[in-house]
Amino acid sequence: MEDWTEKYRPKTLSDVVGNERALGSLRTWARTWTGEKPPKKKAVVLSGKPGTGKTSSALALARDFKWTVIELNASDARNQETIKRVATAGAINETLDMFGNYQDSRAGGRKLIILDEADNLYEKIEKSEGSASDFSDRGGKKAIIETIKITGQPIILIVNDYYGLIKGGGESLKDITTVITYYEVNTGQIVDLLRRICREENISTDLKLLQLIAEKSRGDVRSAVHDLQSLCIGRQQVDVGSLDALGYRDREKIIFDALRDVFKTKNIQNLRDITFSVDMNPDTFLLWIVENLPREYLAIDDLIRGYDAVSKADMFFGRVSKRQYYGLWPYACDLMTGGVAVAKTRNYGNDRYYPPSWMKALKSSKPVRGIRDSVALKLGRQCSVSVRKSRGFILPEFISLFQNDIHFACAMKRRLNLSEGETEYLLGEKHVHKLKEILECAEKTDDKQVEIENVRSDVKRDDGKKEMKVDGRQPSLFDF
Amino acid sequence: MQDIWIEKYRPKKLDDVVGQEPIIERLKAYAATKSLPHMIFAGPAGTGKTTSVLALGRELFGEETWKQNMHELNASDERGIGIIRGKIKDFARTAPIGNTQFKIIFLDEADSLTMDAQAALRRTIERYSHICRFILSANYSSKIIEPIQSRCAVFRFKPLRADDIKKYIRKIATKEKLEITPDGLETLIFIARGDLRKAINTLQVGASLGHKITAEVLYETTATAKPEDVKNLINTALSGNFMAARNQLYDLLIKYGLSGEDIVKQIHQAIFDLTIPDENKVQLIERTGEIEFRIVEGSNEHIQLETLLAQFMLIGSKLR
Repeated sequence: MEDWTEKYRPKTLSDVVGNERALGSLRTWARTWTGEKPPKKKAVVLSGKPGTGKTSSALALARDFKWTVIELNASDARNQETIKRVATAGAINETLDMFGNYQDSRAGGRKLIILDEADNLYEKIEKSEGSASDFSDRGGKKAIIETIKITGQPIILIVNDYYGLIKGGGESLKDITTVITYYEVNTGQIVDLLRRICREENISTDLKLLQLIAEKSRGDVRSAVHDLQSLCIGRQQVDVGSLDALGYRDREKIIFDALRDVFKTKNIQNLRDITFSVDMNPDTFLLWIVENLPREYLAIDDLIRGYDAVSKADMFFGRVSKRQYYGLWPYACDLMTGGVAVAKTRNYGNDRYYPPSWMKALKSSKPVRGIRDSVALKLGRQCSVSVRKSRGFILPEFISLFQNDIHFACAMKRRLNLSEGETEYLLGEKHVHKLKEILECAEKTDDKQVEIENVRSDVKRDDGKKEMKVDGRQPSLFDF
Repeated sequence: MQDIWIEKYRPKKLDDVVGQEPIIERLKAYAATKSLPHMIFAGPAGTGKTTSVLALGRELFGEETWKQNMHELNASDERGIGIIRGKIKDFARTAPIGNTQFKIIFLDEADSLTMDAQAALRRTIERYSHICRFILSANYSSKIIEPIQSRCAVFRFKPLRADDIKKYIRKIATKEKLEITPDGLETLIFIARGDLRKAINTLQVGASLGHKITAEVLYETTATAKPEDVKNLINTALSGNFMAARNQLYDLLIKYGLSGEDIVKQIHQAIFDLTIPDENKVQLIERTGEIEFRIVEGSNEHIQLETLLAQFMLIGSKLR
């Protein structure tokens, strides 16, 4: 059976489900390529969650405009040479079409270069923050920037995480590309698509089922189509009943029921299987329990005992991951469910549970943390300390200095080669009005500095003493 | 102000290093005879470990080639076994430049290397001994595995004496044309607790507000500029508002990027400044130590620290 996500992939832009505005921008950009010369923005970045139609619309666009597609995927060898060779070769050379005829790109035969999962090029940075090895993949980012600058052909970058693309050396991508954001597709539109598919496949179904599938997908069209297909295989008729057979129930309701069991009951035997019923790893479920623990156990002694149980459970998870021995998981599970359950000495009226605010905070602060860490790295290199120390013990004072003293800020902007985003971060909300002045003054001082150096080398006075040089370039310890 | 003072005033010569006289005397002898053992520099932050290494390198190799003959690695930035196998080996096996028998590899924060990495390091040290000297820095030498310790001379850097810090601070004050009042100087000593880096950092922040450094100015800089201070966190927990304390904790970990270990150590330090009975302080210290152990053993720092916050809340509720 053919994969429905491929079979029903839109053939033209007007078939793409949802994201009308993004599609409009994409079309407008493509039209700028119909002229003689390449437009100013030679590349666009399609950014959005999985299954929102980014790749589909890129492919559909190529069809609509009769462009040949050169697709590079993150799973291809990703290094400077590969990207440059494939992309620039495709971009600047005229090539032969599939029948061996010479194809002049100006005659309409443009080649669209699609760089899928472009944010994954740099995954190393994420893993080992601040380590020098993070530069090993930088070549990839540089190559993309160079490619975009010299290309004579349209380029589409596809990312889930726009920030992952532009941070750490990718900042100039902001200037040379246009970002088009894709949002989660709304449930109604997904239901319409699912209905159309069912009609084509001659499958009778009820609307309720399609609605549930669409809701569960949370705006991810691909996963909705996927789920539909997995339910329909070997069937001519599906209804809501088929869902249950697949253990396909409302994920959130299950979690909340499980939390209620932990917090409201005391029978640890009944709680044993609860970690299997929730559709997540036990260490993630632990975060849900921890989030709601202080919301439920309002009496301090219950809270203390409850926290002691989750703290011990967490130790077992630590042991599991350090030794890669999953035999310890059941102990962790029993402690975090049964241990928390027996910690209470009374019942509480609470009936509202929340998802982990820890994860939410992590997610929403991702861009800021990225900037903070890149500043900490630059500062750490300058003062020869690790990123960890620089972040914890030098950055706080550095931020005060930066905000208090505009000359200092300006000098540091140059010396540490801080980007505009990093400068803005250091200034914080309260001092952000100084941003423009600092950027301007950092440039000006640059020119002046050059003059002074020239004068010095001409006159060559004997300074005798080795003072701090005026050129402000205080070398970091090990410049290599 | 055009510089970061901790860099600007980092001593370039061994003679200028503040305090640590017996250690400096040894290092000078090594530089003069151009021979040195592998070494571990152990001691708290801001006591001159990195500075001594850099000054030693300068005197040993001379201005021309010291940078080429030294390699600095921050173990906490790249703590895996990978750096031992990759970077260190790559640097270790190339010949030194100029008139010297060996090169120096400086491994900062070596105590954050994993046991595996340390074991690999031990072999690397032996293998390249003919051409390389290793200097490891660590807060505690005991966190370095025995086999490495036994191959190194261990130098223990002590917290700097108040007088030494004062002398250096006065020197900076003169150069920067600052007026520092006696109570300002005392305050700086109190804040620094033997950590010269902290003293200089604090002085510079004070100087960015004006040329007169008083106790008041210094307290202002430490109080206003620090939403990241763990004292706020402790006070919120003691006051009984657990959810607010938890949010502050998340901010420290996420927004300010402090590690759980850093926070727990700062909490330990701050307990002494609390206005609660000493027996409660001792109780809290015991809980804090237990939590640091659990952080090392566990997987989610924030869960462990929340557990500790609950303990502060308990003590707070008993005192009310």
